Amino acid sequence: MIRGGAIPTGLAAACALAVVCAAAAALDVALPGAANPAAAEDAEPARIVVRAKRLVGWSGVPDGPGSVVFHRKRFAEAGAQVTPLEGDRVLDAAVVTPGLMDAWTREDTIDSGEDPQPFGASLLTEFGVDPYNRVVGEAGEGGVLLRRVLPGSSNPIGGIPSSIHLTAPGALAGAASEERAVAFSFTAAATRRERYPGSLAGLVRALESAFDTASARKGEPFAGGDLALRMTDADLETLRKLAEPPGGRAYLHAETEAEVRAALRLAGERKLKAVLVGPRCGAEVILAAARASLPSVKDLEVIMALSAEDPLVVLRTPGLLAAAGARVRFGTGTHDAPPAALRLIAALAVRHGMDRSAAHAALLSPEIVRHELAAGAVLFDGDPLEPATRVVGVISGGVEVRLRPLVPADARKEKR
Amino acid sequence: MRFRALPILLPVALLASAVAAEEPAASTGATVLENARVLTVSGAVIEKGAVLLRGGRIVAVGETVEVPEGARRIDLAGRVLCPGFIDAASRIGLAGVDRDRPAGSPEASVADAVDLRDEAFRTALGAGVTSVLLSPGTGAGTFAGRTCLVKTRPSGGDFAVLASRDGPVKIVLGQAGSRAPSLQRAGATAAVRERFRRALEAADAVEKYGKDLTEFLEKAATYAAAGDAPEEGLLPAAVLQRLRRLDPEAREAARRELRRRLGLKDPAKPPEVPKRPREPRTSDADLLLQACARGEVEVRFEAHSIEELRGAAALVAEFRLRASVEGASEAWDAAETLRAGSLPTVVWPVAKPTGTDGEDGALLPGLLRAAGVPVAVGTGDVAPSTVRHLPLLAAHAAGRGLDRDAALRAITLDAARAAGFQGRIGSIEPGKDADLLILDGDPLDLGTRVIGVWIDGVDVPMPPQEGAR
Repeated sequence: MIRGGAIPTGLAAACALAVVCAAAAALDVALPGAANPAAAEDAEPARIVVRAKRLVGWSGVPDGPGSVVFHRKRFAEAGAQVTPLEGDRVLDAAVVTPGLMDAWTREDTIDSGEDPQPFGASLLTEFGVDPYNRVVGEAGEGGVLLRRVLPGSSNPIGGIPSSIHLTAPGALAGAASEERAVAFSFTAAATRRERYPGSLAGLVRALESAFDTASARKGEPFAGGDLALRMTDADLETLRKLAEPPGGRAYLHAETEAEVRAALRLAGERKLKAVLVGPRCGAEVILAAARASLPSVKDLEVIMALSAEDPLVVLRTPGLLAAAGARVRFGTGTHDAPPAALRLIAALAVRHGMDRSAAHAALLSPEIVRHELAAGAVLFDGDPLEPATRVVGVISGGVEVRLRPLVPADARKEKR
Repeated sequence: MRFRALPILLPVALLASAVAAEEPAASTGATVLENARVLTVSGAVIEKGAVLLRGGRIVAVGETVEVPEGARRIDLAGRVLCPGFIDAASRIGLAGVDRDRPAGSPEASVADAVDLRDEAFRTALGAGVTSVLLSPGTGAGTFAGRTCLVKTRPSGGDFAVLASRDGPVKIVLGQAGSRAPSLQRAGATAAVRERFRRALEAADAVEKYGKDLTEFLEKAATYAAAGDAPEEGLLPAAVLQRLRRLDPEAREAARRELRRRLGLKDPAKPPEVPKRPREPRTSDADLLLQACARGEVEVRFEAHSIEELRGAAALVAEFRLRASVEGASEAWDAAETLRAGSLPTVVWPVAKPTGTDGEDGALLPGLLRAAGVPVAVGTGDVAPSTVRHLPLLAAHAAGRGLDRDAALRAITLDAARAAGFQGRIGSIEPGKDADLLILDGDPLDLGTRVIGVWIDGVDVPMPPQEGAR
């Protein structure tokens, strides 16, 4: 059994949107006594006890029958021996998991593709999050309670990733920049040839120069390698902190074999924690590059976005990487993918060889249950990896989210 | 007789040539698949049942079947037996077909263009997809040609065989994601309406020609009998010979007598020369569209926006078409239109936003089915190799609101219906093609494997399995 207790995350302070969203959240959640908020404040709120035939993905709790308890909008405990008390609100589900995590979205971030500063290491993606985006609203209903926002991939240095925690439909519990983390794009050379005529080699030289300048190893101002690009003091300071031992997290968007090798070489040389994003060159290439550049394959984290249209070499990558010891996460990779796409990605990975327990780990976010504002769990009518399985309930922000029916009652109604 | 050469009979000739090119069923011996969980799809599940196959067809289905002497018996040890999956809107093997052909031609046969050595047919077989309706993409023009049914049974060096050239006629009213103004979209419907009207006018012209020709022949016969026959071939030979044997004076006398008996006003004057009606030109395209309007040939519309979908429904109503729709990616507000038009609909729910407001496309099948629209899941415009995930996509739709039974129907019986071949494939029923899958679990479960495939009663060797549990 594990027991809860709010872990200060500092996210609330960082979230400029939380206050705005709290009102929306209050309207959209089925709080006990919600019809009379004042009364609800006075009375001891009921616990929510979710009984499951199978608990999946709960740290310290074996995969099997059990219950999860939320109290006062916080996670309280989870385990096989938990029993409901009188007055508890009891929910039943076939499977209960912690919230799902979309490890790679770009929703509403500033896509710095048109930014005149393509080495904008200090750009904060959290300020690009739009709480009114419908995908944000729908994410909670799909059980995706945590989304990591990366900048667009048009610039070699895109900025600082952020995480957004979702509560009720249409509401954010918080958006926070990730500390000592920067997103890099090695695909920029291919997608913006007019800017990087030196192609990948020129881009890598520019990045090397940026790091050298930031760490003052060569004591000369950053000149952008061959590209005559500029960086602000804030950008250089961000890079300097990133490279301080132990190295921070480098999100490395790289698709082709050459890009992946270059990205992991940079991470290895600068002793950064490598998070490879969106590779499409096959597991063997990735593993070879990791072995050549990183201390161990286990030091590699890879975020994969799969599509049913992908070739087999891509579809098999998550399973092979996980089997080799790399940490795999799933992400939708776009700003507008529906939340259900995340589980479809996991299903595709399993279909093409990924071990189910590894896929659960790649999909779920156990730490979210302890989040100060967004403690959550997802109730399923079957294994979440099965595409036919439906979300039947969501606990978010410690309260039950009211789900809209998948098929509206007025399916025949035509608006126009 | 010239009359017999009227083009109205051309379809019979076309049909005859078409049938000759189709691959016949390959198996003739009787086989019994027994001790299986039979998902008939058209009826109840038979928990422990048997299916008798003979001559490439299903002969009997039930808890028990009468086993013919000498029949091959296969014990399936409780495994699942279900109909072969059907992709009701596929582009496999059509890589060379979709080109810039703005108008297209309805009579162009996709069967003549398909590459049966496309590896994606093997991929389809591995996923349990035994039939695909090959439907050209939007690049093939408004009238994209006549679709065809292909089965994924290897034959010779090919990975598939042509099962029927007689699929629905594909008409493209719009393409996915188009941001064309609604008036422009309406223009496509108007163009199709105009083309159907021209085809029907051509039919009217042929009918009128027939009447005019009959009238002409009657007049010509009268004229010929009465005098200077403009069409000697129209008179019986015996009459002609008798006339020719007479000397000129006697012949003239005979003519006058004939004119008098025929009641002509002036027996001395030859009757007015009738004008032979001009034979109208009728194209193969006209004939095919006329067959569509008679309900003899189905139509497959590709339509996405609500304007296009309503345009399709309007054309169905106006020309009394039997039709289906593929695409329908923006059908969020068009469910009633599709239901009222009796339009089975093929969608490709690949979990991308499809509406102008970014709705989850995987929700569409459930919404349409709830409104009473038969829904099929196909691959359509997505990469042809996506066919390997056809059951997974159906399952995904089930996870997003489509009833689980309807999800299975979406890749079997309702897919057959949308393809226009529901009398032949899509369920385990006597009389249907023996296209069957042997599975080790539920068809919609992720870990289920295809253990065996029968197509046209033939036990087809499986390609290497791609998936894993």
